[in-house]
Amino acid sequence: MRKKAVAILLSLAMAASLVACSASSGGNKASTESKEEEGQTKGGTTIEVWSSSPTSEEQGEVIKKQIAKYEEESGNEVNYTEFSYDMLHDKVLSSAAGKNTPDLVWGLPEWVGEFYNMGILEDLTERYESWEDASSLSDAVKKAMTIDGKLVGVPYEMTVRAYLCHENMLKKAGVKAPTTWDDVLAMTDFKEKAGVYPYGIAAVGARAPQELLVYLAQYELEICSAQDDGKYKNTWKDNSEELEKAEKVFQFYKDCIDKGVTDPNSRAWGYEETDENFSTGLCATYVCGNWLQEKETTNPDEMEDVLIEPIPAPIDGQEATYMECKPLFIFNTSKNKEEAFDLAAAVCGKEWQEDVYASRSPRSDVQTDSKWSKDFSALADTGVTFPPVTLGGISQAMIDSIAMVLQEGKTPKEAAEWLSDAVNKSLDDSGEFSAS
Amino acid sequence: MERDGRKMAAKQKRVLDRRKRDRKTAFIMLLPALIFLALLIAYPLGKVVHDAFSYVHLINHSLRGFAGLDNFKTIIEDEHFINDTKNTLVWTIFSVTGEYIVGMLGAVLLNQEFRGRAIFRAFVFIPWLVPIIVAGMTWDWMLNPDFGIINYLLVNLHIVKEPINFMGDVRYAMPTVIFVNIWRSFPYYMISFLAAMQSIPKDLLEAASIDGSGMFTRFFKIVLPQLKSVSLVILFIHVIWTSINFDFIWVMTEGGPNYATETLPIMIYRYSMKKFNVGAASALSTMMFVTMTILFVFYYRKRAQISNENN
Repeated sequence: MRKKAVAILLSLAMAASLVACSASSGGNKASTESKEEEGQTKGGTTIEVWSSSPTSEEQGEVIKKQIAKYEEESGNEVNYTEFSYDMLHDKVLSSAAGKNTPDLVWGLPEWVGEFYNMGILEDLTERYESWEDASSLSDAVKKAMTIDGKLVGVPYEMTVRAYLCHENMLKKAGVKAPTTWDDVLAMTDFKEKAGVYPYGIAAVGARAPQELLVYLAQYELEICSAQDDGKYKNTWKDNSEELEKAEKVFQFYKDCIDKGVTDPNSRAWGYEETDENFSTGLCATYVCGNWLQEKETTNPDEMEDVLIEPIPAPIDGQEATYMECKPLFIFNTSKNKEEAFDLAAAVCGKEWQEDVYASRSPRSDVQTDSKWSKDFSALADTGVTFPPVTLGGISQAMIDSIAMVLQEGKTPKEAAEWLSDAVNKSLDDSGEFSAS
Repeated sequence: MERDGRKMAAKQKRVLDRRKRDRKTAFIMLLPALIFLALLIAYPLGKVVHDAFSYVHLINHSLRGFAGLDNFKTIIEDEHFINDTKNTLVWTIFSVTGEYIVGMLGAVLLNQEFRGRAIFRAFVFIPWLVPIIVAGMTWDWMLNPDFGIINYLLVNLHIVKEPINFMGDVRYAMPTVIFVNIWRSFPYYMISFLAAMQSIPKDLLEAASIDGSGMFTRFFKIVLPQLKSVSLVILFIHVIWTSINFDFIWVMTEGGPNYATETLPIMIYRYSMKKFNVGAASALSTMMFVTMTILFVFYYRKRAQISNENN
């Protein structure tokens, strides 16, 4: 009899714990509620925040101080957790599938389209319009956060890419900072003279599609463009002139390696290697964002001679750069949308921005006198962004197309045609392809 | 007579009641495990199989309903499927073979009597204890063409002229990842073999030696047959562990360069988390599950055969 009772108790305990675990949203709700109850005693709410890891330890400390200050002033509690971007992306997808998203996420612009298409983002248009600081954001920034007329993110950081050059290395090689692709490709004896490769490229990871997007934009090409039916399409194969321009872009990648301007190992490098190589002086020039300013602390000797220039462009093209406007996402399953927007507004507020993102703020009233702020801001007018579509498959196709040229020995024409098809296939898979 | 019959019938009834009670108790005792299996194993497995035959897409909500074999078709027609299958086979076969050989050699050496044997046995086991993320990142740095100690030594000892991009060159990436996997896993084999070797009677080996058997004959005719059972278990477990391994390759190369180290588990990840096609990811998972089940049946039969032989 006792055995039976123990077994029944064990079964019930097991079933209860499994139910609690499997209904994760319910489980979290319970924990959030208990935290909320705790918060209620202080008169606030617990806001669940997932963030990308800060770019430096110092930045992380400043963010934590600002969060503590916000908690004190608002009475809300912030449950703040950091992840790498890849982890963060995958965690959001998993939690969204279980309808158990956090209240606020520090995200990447590349995710805007896919999260919107998943139907998990809260429409913030009305809240934004009644926000007193709304006028401090430019139209370009607002546009980057808007899909189908709905504002779906609050910008917290904005950067453009610039061409960073180690001045001393250029002098050693006897050249000026290149302004055109031809100038870049002419630096064939640079390594002999300066001991390092002159030009860096990222061929894998999140950085590779961003760089490719810029080179395409320098020829006025879009990876896909909105069509009359509101859907998207890559039109290169419909237009021989566009295809020819895309070929020239891939030819540039090929020439960089073939002419010894770029380290052959960069065929497999992502942003970790390229940023590290530039900041440690293993590469003379590289297209990058102003977060490399933080390397002035860790590598003061190597970083003291950095010049900030516009990205070299083809002679028959135009200047362009990648504008990265990072959004704070609020999810429509969140129970604390108002509090989450309140925190997002604080992050985008003047004080927080001056303290944490002074050199790369989306606000027009926050800037510093340093070259990392002024020289970068000067390039913002030529900024381009990704179209607001699901980018997972498109980004991978862009990386694969670079690999076709740099690793598989395919011709630039083959790579351009393949990419055009692959982009349209990806759009078709996600239901965003325009057949018109 | 009639009374005896009634007594017998009552006794039989009691026995039957007791058996019934025992079965009921057994069922109740098993219930927690059954609930655990049903909710944590059977349900997710069933969901994967169900999704494999359904259109499940996280972005494209117009794709819904029964898909038939469409998801399997998507996977088989994927331009990387054959490459990834080949990579999975190469990764599994060479990893397990390498681990087996190195583990066996290590066990034979550590089975000899020498000073400090106990300390050496403990040290050799360290790679197995290192977390995968730490092992992967450490080797990644050691093999780096610019900063890595291995390239530094190779160049300075004039073994190679230029640093080798072990992880970034399609020619070297897979052998490198396999090598690091062997480094990490061989201690598990070694300890298992060592334990089995120590149970082989020394008299047997001495007798063979007196009869004129050389070192190799003793190893192949006496030691190896004694390790048949442990070998089968360890090989079977590792074939499954290695073929479905995701984290080790992901930490080191993320399947690159240019798909040179992408295996089927990484392809599943890409389909679900990058392409958002959960249906296709489930189809590939189901294909792998069926393959593993076939392997298990093979193992089960082989195991039964060995048991029968031993009995």
